[in-house]
Amino acid sequence: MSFTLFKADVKANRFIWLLITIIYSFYAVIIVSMFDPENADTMAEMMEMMPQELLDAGGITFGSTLLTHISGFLYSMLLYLFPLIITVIVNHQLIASHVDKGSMAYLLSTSNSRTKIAVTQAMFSILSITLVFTVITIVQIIVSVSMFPGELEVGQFILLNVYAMLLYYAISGICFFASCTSNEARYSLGLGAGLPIAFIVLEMLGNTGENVSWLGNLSIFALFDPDRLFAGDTFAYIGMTVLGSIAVVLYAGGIALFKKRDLPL
Amino acid sequence: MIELNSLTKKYSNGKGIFNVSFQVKNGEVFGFLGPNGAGKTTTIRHLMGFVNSTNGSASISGLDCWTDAAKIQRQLGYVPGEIAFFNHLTGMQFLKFISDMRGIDNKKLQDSLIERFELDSGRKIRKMSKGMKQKVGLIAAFMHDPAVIILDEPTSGLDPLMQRKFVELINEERNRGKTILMSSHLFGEVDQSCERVAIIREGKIVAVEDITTLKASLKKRFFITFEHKRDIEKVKMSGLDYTVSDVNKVEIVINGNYNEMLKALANCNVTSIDASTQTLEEIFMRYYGKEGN
Repeated sequence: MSFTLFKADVKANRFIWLLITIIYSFYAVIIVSMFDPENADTMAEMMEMMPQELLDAGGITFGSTLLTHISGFLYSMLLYLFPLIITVIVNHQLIASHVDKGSMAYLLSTSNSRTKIAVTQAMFSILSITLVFTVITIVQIIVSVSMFPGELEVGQFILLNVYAMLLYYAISGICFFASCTSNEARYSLGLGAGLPIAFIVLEMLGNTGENVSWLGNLSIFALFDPDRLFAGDTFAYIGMTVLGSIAVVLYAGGIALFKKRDLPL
Repeated sequence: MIELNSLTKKYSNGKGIFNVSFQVKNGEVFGFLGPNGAGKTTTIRHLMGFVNSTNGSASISGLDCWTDAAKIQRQLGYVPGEIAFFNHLTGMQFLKFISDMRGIDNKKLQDSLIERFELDSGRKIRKMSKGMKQKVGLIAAFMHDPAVIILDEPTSGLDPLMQRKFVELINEERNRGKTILMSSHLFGEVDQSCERVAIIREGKIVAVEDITTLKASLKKRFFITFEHKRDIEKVKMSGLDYTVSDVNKVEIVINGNYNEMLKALANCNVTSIDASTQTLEEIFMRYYGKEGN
């Protein structure tokens, strides 16, 4: 691990990371503040006025507790959107962009092995995602505790975020793997953004009707099911394990292939 | 020091390099000549450990270029053919970054190089011209005082004054015992500093020669313009190898017989003399009777 390179990564990615994390936090604050413990039923009525297909497609559900309220709104479509932007851009910048532009030649000519460089970039990739979820979790806990004291089951909420983070380790793994194996920006971005977006589309299609629900099972997002987590279903824990394993395989595979392949520098 | 043993890299499009073998001795400045697309950069990629060969091997100081790349880099300075840096950094920040990445900080050498190339190091790399970026690349390659230096078309983009400073630097480094390999598609670029050259064409080494032998064997062309066309008659009688290119212009080809030309021209009214720079194409024509691309 090269600390110098890590610092340079922070510098190169801090703008996009801060921007997205701030917007994401902002949304999180609004959604938490929308919770009304007295009027959970009014909320339900209001939601009924919205087209059901639309809500289903977005995976949006409404809950009567603060935990299910947050999970229904924030850990569905918005979860797919904000961290994904960071993941796609950061992972592309870490390896593929250096190879595409040619600046990788300079990194490698500084007597750092390919493995060392790839491991450093993988560390940054994982830490950037971890930090997004840490910030989001803390922001939501602070807002929840100050606006609705005693309403949030903090333990379950943290578990939900660990679950979401593991999902993102796997997605980030896809982007990192794409970044390590692509010679050109378009392949890295195409695969890194395309595959997760395809999974989102599958998930949305699967949600629109019973007879196409099998489509949703093809998506990596099918492994992420907060309701089953809250219900104490072992499926959620199996999901976590599988997501974590996917992440390990993709990150390790990316590093191994980056080490072995020809670089067009 | 640098050793290539039938290094072969086949690409799926049939291009690549085939059985490339040559040695660069310790303390030698070695030129690597070839037209664009001949395989110079591919060969250098092997030396840098960026690509693995299909066959054969390359080594620097006895270390394998593929498996020991990181170890080799500690003693190696490299100037890539295409300049691609970290655009958001200034020249100075970039040099500092590279020093930190290497873990070798030779501030004194770095400063003297910045001074020598008159680099405005506070400027953002994004805003630099090609020549300025080239200077940053040269400083980055030399500032850790490496024993081996590999340069891929190093003077492209430099103005004539900077090219001269570059040649001076190369000569100084050679005198300090450095081993230098530089590629070029221009004979003039390696002419002033290299002792030996290898010529590559269509992925194959066609010659490894002393630069003096190569130069002696080359014909030189002069374009002479006379004030009066009657002077052309004097050239015709001199027995020189010539062609009349206009009413008062001739092209004379010299192969070491400079004195004959000077004697013939001494009685003429010459208004201009131009000498053509030797191009690689002409070397190929001379050596192999085939045209370079």
